[in-house]
Amino acid sequence: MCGILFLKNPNLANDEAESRIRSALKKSVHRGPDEQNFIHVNGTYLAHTRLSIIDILDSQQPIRDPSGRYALIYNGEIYNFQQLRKSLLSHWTFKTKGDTEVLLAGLITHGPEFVEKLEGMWAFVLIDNKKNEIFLSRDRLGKKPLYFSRTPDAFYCASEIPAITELLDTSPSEDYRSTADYFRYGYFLPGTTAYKEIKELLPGHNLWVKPSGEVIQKPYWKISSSREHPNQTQAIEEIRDVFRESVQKRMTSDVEVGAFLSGGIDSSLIVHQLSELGITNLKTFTLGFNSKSFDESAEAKKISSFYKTDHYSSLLTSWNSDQMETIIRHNIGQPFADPSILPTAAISALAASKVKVVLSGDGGDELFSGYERYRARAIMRWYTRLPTSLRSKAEKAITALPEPQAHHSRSLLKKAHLFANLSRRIGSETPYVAPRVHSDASLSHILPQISQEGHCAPGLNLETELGDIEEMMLRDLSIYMPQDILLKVDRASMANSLEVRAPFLDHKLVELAFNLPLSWHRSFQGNKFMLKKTFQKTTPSDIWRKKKQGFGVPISEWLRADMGVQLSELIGSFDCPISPDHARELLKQHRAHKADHGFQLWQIYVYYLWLANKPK
Amino acid sequence: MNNNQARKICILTTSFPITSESNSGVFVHHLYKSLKKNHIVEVVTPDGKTATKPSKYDPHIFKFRYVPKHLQTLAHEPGGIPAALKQNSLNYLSIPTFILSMLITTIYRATKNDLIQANWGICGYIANIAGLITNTPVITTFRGEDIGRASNSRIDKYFLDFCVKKSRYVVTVSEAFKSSLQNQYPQFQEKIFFIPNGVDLPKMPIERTPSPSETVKLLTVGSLITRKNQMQIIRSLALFPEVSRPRLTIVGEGNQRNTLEALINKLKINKYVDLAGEIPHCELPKIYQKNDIFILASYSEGRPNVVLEAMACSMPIVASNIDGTNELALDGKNALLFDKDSDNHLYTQINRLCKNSELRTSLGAAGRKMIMNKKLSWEQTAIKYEDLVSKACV
Repeated sequence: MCGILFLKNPNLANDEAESRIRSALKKSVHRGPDEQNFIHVNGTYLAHTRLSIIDILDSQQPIRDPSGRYALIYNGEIYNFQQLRKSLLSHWTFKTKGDTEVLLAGLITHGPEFVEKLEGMWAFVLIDNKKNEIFLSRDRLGKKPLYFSRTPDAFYCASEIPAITELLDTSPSEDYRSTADYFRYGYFLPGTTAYKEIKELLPGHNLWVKPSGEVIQKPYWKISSSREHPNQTQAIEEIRDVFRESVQKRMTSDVEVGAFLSGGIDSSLIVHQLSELGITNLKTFTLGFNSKSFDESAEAKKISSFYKTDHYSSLLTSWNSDQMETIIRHNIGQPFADPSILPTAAISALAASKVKVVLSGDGGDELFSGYERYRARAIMRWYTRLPTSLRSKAEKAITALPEPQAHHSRSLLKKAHLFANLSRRIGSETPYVAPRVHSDASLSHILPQISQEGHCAPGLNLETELGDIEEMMLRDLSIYMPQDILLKVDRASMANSLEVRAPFLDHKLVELAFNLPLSWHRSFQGNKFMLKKTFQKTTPSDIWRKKKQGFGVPISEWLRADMGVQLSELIGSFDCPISPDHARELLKQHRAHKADHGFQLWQIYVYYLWLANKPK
Repeated sequence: MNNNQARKICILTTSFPITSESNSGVFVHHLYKSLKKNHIVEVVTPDGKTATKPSKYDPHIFKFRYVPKHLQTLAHEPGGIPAALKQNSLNYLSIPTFILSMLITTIYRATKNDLIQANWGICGYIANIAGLITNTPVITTFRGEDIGRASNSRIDKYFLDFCVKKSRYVVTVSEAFKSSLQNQYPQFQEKIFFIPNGVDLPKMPIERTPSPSETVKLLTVGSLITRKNQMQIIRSLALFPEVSRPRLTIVGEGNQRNTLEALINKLKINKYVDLAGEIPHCELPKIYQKNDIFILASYSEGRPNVVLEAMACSMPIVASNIDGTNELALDGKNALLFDKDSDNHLYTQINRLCKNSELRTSLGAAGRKMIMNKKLSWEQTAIKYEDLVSKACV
């Protein structure tokens, strides 16, 4: 896994272009500390920073074909590269043993259609000097990032925003439509960033920059969700087979591979599968928390003992809230409100001290309907049929009770608060795009000038034949997952030079899970039925007893302490669309324990951090 | 018995951080932690209204109940028992059961310990009765405001007399209070000692974080109660022209919040004042580090710990010229003092520091140096207490 950089600007002197590439490389070193190279081909600069995983001694990048017509920079892992290599042997004489040359050979031999044969995660840029064409591609689900910027004459790409801003002629300007989206959802919609001039290549898309400067972006993969499958027993067999293959493929590496083990279902199943595959001395990693409400380390220890893994656990006793500023400045380069990036970075640092690659359980909830919000949505359908006055009284009664700080899995009262909150914003969440942080009404208070602004989520078909929950799941897979979960995991792990692989996000498993009827996945009684039916008999019962938990970050407490003081100073210090009076009022209520506005205030705080650190 | 022998010590206090968020009696907590290194120490303190998490349970802390849990608001609140009584007159109804419960618990715990260390007059009174019944020696520590109150209140004077007469040793936290007590009770001057509070030095950052903006940042820390006099700081802040007005952060909670908010609104300086509420003590060093000037405008103090902590963090101090405070904050050396009745004088002193960053740095460095030279650490405080404990237990 690596970082890539691309610069083509005919108006730029070579010295200046080279200087920009070098400083962008410096900003990307964490993505690939093993090697940094760049080449200059006909006014085009391609640069690469490498985390060596496969074919460690060779497979340097940027890589060129023998004729010099093509050059490639690539970030990712192609798990089926050995198989593809064999199929290319009649067309290509390989000089290396890695996946990079296979990708180059395949693209030259078969053209862009070769992308459809790839299994894995990637973001790459290929240049064709003869046709004067640039070709970009990003993996199906958006695991690996790729940002680009263009002017009539120039084109730039990078794996991260802090690096791409080093390549541009001028500092990019804030996109207020994106700002409104950030406050709606906590992140930006696919294809967009905080900046007008910087775009993101969509997951599952190819992009061509033609000699005329025209840019064409086209999907090469789309999830179909017919929700039809003839036979449940057969589906269980298929899940078992595809999951086993997926885990096995992700063990392809010339360095040691470990696994995150949270003690939850998804990461435990990966450890189970690795054990079934005969992997011994597996290193597993867990993060423990002081607060019992968030701590799963005891469960993780049980699973690790059962599968006899070499288990490493670290107790997060104190938080460094200032770390968020570092991550925003060096890794994300734009606001990002999911605070669980902090524990993700902490567990990545722990794992990176022992291995270079880990498997993680990301995607299990999206595929197998694990989120509580799906159940809440189903209950909401019935609840909204009650008389308004009755609902209003019930919500008032709930709101009057103090909101616990505990994770919702541990507190019925917390669940009730979240439900009352959902009820207030359900109108704003219909049609569903992604979980909302602010309802439309609340957004108009915090961003009075731009609350009506926003981008359209790409490919959002508002009239489908799917049911409400199926739609939610599909949109979570195409919006929430790449923009929140995958971005978080990529930046937090790459900040520590660690590669994370997600077996649940193998596209064959995704296609299979999304073609099963929803009733096979969940009902009012529970969720993840298909996973349970597939693996329950062969795994320890402890895995299935555990309630779902996430990484809990005490942002509400922070905002009643030093961070609240910092935020108070930041409010009103910038020329920005936030209403300072409303922000102050939220902070005042939060500090007085009248309400828990922890997440909304954290979102505002992160936005200010970005404003304070963005390129001027 | 030799002097290095581990003793069983019972600390009696009406202020103690019984929850992780509480800042009540943090200095007693520091003393408890420091004495625990060489002795077997327990704490007897009133229970509070908040449930303590089982994970925070310390078997050496004995909390006595005195009324139904949700009504237990007499202790551990900002400003202590006097502020609680002032805030809600119904709290007077709790006093009989409070005293009875504290007495019974202390008598029982006294039978298990070699010595009682009592904090403030009321605890000293109960501890000495328990000490008489169980023949257990008592060291009473007066922390300042209780000595001041004795000149105006007959009950406080009675507590003071009783404690000075009956305690094996009496400790004050400032030289001025020691002299005052020795003058009042010349026959007992041999048993009156001064032991300064310490500072948790390893946690106090030396490096300051310079403010990215040009706006100077003022900080005050203390309960929002009349005695702390935050009103004067706010009024002085309003005297600054808007263009050069510094920013003020007020850390603390208390019954004066609404009054302070009303004043801030009236003076139209909301943008410049942050009422940050109560902040866990462990978070304070970060806040000291990020602010430029520390202000304490109290009418009366013992030996204010916040001033010690701010000095340990190399902050320049602006403080009211009162006993206790002026032993630490030396005008022109590590602080600028002001006449406690003059808003203009406070404004002038703040303005001097705002305009002169070199003066801020030099006063801050001198404050830190004084803390280091005087070895004002909790370890040193504990050593001095240990010495008295050894003598008292012979």
